[in-house]
Amino acid sequence: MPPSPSPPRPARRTPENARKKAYKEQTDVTNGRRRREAQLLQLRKSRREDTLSKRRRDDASSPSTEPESDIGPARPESDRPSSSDPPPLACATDADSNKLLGIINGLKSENISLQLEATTKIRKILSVDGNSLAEEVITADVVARLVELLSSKKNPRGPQLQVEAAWALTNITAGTSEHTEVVTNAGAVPKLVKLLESPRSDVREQAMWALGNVAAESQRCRELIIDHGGLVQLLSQFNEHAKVSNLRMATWTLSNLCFGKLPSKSQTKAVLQILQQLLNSIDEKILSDTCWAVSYLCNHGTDEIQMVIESQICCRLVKLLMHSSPKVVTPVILALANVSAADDCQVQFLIDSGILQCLLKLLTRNYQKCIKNQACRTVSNICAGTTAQIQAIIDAKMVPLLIQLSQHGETDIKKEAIWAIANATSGGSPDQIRSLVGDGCIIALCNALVLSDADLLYACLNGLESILKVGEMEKMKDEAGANPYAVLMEECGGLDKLENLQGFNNDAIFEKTIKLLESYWVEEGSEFEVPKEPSTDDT
Amino acid sequence: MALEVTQILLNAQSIDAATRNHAEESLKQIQEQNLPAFLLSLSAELANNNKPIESRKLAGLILKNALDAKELHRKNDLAQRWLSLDLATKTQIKTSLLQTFSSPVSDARSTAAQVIAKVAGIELPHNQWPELIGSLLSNIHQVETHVKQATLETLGYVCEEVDPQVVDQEQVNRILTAVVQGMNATETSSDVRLAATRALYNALGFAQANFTNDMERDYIMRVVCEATQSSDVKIRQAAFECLVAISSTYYEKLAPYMQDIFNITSKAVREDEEPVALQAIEFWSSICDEEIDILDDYRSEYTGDSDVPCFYFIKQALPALVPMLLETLLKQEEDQDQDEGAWNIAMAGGTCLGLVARTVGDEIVPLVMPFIEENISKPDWRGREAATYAFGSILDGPSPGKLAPIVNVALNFMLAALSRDPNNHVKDTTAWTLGRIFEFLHGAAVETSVITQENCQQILTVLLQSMKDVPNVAEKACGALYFLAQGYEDEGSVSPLTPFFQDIFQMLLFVTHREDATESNLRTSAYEALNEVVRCSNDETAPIVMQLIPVIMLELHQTVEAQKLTSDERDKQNDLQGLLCGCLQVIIQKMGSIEGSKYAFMQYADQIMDLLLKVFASRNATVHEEAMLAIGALAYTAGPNFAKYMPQFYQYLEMGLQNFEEYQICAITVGVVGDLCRALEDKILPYCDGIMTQLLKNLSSNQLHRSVKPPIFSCFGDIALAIGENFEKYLLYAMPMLQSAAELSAHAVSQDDEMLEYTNQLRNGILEAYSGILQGFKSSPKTQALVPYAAHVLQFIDTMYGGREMDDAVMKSALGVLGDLADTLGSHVGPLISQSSSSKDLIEECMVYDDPLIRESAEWAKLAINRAVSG
Repeated sequence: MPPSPSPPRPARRTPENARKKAYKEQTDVTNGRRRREAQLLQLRKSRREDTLSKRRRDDASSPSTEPESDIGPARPESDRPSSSDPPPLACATDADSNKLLGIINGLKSENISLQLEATTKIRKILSVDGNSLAEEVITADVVARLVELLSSKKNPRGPQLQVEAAWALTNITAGTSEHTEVVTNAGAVPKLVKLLESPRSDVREQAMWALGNVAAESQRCRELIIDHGGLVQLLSQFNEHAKVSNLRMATWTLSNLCFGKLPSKSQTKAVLQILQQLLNSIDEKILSDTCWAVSYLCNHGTDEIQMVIESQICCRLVKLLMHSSPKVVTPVILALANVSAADDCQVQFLIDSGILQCLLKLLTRNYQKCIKNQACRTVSNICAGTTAQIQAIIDAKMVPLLIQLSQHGETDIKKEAIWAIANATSGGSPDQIRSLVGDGCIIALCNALVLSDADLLYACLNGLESILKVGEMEKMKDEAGANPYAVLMEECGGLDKLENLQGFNNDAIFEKTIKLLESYWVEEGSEFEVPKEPSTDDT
Repeated sequence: MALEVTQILLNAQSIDAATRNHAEESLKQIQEQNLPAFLLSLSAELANNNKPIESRKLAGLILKNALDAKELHRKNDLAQRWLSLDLATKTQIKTSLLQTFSSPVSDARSTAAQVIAKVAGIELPHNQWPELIGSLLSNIHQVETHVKQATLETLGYVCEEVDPQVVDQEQVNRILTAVVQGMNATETSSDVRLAATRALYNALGFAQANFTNDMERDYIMRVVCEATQSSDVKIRQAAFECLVAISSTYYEKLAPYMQDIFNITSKAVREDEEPVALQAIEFWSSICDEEIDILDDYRSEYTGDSDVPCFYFIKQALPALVPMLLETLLKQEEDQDQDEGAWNIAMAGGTCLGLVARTVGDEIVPLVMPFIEENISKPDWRGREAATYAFGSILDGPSPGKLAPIVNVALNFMLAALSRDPNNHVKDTTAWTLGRIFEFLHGAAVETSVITQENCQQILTVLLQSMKDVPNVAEKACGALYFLAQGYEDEGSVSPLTPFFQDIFQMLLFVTHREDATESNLRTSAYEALNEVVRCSNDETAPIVMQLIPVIMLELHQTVEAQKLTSDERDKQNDLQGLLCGCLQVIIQKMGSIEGSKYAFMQYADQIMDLLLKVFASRNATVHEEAMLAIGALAYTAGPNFAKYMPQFYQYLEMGLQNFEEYQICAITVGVVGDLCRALEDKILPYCDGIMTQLLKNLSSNQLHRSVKPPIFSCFGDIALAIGENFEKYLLYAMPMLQSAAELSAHAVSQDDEMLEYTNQLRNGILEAYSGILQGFKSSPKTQALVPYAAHVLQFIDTMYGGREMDDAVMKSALGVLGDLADTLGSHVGPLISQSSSSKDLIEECMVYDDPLIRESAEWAKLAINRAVSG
């Protein structure tokens, strides 16, 4: 116990010590050991996770039977085939304009090392968003040279150069339409298609990426690729030897090509054959892009939809509605919404596949708005079908949900729900209509009478007309001999809204309104005057 | 029953070592034989005015040490011992202590004040000694100044010792009233005023309620501000310390006083004595700290907001604050850069300027530039140094876009100054500023680096040249090189440093051999720069890095062989060994990560391992840590081949695991066990009995630092993954340990962030253990052995899920365990999982999480569970 000269004050908080350390501090330099330890800890953590996930994947049961699982780079929500994500390697460069000259000289040199170095630098310049040098690089001159370099292969470093050149072109095609045009004008497409035959997977992958970007540009670009045999080459990428990363890229590029109508039925068939297989992939990215491709195809018209149905993938699509990732569900519901707009036969097929239960879940759970919207659109399409199909909707207990959505849903969903109710009431049998009224359809339709969408209004009026017709049949049962549904309409303020519609500037709606008023109310109240539009011709 | 201890206490301070040792031994004996009597005697000694001051002071000091210690477990022991003494003894001791206040000897009073605070620290939280504060306050009205002074001092210490919650508001009010009265200018005794001001510093934490009351706060602030104008320099300093404490504790209450405080501080900075001026600057540094934190919170992704709003005091004060700080920069001391303990107004001012720059960003630049331009070429070195220091200080904060044009102009000037300025101080600051330029304006993260292929060579030439300069300048040059290299970390194969690798290594090794390399931390900086150059190197330079291995090995070999060193030489040797092991670790990691170099590197593995094992002969903790880390890296690189080193290495591994004292070594060794598991896989089996025994011991020890325990649990998982079903025999011991820790951590109520973080680390460790064990047993016929534990694991997750305090890492691990249960145990646990409240909800909840890793885990868990339930 050493004696102390004077009792020290208890340790006070001395900011001084902490500040002293901050004087000309070079923390990293002085704390080298702790930093190294931290790096090692990080490394350990990731190795531990690697080991675990490897074990978790080592699976007795076959992984390909399940649709779920696996990660993939996120596909942005609005991902129509648009410019793709730029390559991940973003690196600022130290080049100024003089520097650029040096790079361009390197590019034009005959020495492959210099070419490679220059190409890599260009690629990096291009991968930085908003790099002012990018504009200077994208000249016909440079691009033409990059396209030339795509064909270099005699040298052992040739493939590397091909990758870098294709990568640079990828970055350019990720830019504006003008940029992409420079690339297509330089004749890049045939050379990129040619690269799809390369024995090296990295070369093929980069070429596909570039082609995917080009395909995203316009229908003309897509046709250009297909004309040069790009589709055939792309389809040949799907084989059992392909790496997952290649498959992902190929699927994405294929989906972009499908965005436009394919020139021939046989091409569509060939694509569908591949897509059918890909729909069983467990890779989320592949699955998602496959579904996008299907949904694009379904956009092209009834022929395509018929082919989709014939390829027997609808059943699988319906199952995929319950996939856990919105990246898969979104394109699937888009595709199915289109299929549901086709003929009754096809709709029946969807119902038989169990689509209604899935739709119910999509509409009641916490899904994104666009998914719910499309789900609701699908329901409204089904409601426009046969009475048996309407019955299926009623049996699935969907009506109360639709009524609820028609009142409280977000605008787009609300509209689709009203469409569904209007369709169901217009086409339903008297019994079905009674059931629908029991669930509250009259109020829902009446509330919709204030909307401004003429088509939807007309559909609502049609629905109400059907309801009122059934109401006439009920008259006999009613003690007072009144149309009970007309009474209901009055009670919920529907009559007032209907009367207001006489001022709606649309002939069909005007006529329908008058017809309803005259048929069901005119004799009731003497205060009602038949309004005449002064400007319309008498007919 | 007081014992006569005076002579022993005096002997314990004798200059004669034998007498001293003998006395210390006697004291220890008495303490062990009869603690109550011992403590009573000490308190009596302290209170007795007839005893010599030396024995009284030591008596008080020993008494204090019998009540408190730094290590937490010892502190708790001592508190328990005190609480279990009989009441009469404690009362008598406390009476003696309070009596000491009336002693005319100030050292005795002061010592008693500290002891009383320690007793209060133990007793008040247990609702004992409730009359203490009342009786202290009754002293305040004593006429004798020295009693008053001692009382205020004690109140201050008590406030420092106990938690604010322990004292009720009514007592707080009375304490503050007494303290603030004592500070008042009307108090005639400056001793009393000083004691009161220092007491207020500690009592500020109790004044939460009072600071929300405008009138009370105004009054306290007025008294503090008045005290800054006292004629006694110590009171002024103490008053400024109060202002500093208020600035961080009550930042949001300061607005009405800022104008006054600015005037007071700026006068103090310009005119007052240095200790006072330093505190005045500290006030502004502290405001910067607060605002930097708040603005960070504003920008943070998670909150986007802060509990306390930013008042932008610094921004408002900027036009006056910056000139005030710039003035201080010209008041440097000669040779302050060679003096490790130096702290003066110029250093404080520059540090504050740096904080201001971080607070306001671009706005500071135009306010500082004229000062730099005016002074940078002055004949007086002070001007040049101050200008450079100002420039270096503002490089962190403003945007690179704002700074780059200035740096582009300044760079050549700075390089010239570094090579040619006649003044070392200027060169030191210039090299430091260059380092800051490279740190903040160069690298992949910066849009356009100020470093180009062309100027890079010139920069390197100057930096390497400066490494031959005096040690403090050379040290800063090494630091600058460090950041220059770091900037090329992601550069791929085109780093402009590549052609100079030979020169760089040569110069850095030269520096490490300088006679004066131990001055100014030079050797350490040189090695760290070397490490960073290696770490940021690429495939192309791998052969040159490889050439370093024999060089570093030779150096390490020489340190191992060195014999018969003096203790001073031994220390230096230890430092060097630590640095060399660290360097080897970095090189091993680099070579291991480059496929082409790995095999070439492995030819050195035997020799390196041999050397590292010899290094363990050193008794130095840092050296052990470094050697252990290097071995971890070697195991990664060697993989299963590491098995051949295990027979010799095992004893050191065990030694490391047993090192509770230096728990960092223990922690690092636990990590290395994990490395070995992944490298050796089932080849680690022969060593597992020993390792598991030790790890289980560590877990049950209450002496081991708690931070080591979570990694030990994770390590169980690593072992189980490596040896699979062979882990069965450890289940009997490991599982109960995991279960009880799980129970504890699941129910832990975390009051503060630190505890919450620890709890989550613990949970994560436990979950990693479960995952490792479950996956280790997967597809083994022995999986049955795990079924009995499944219910508890699920319950653990359920409880945590119900508690809602899991962080993302825990959530992810918990999902993993849910999946692992299903994956390994299948239909055995299917029904159990279906019943678990958390499994469904947690998984559903995580499916829509933003973090893709969590979503992925959730999907995997769901898949595994579906299989288990249906199969």
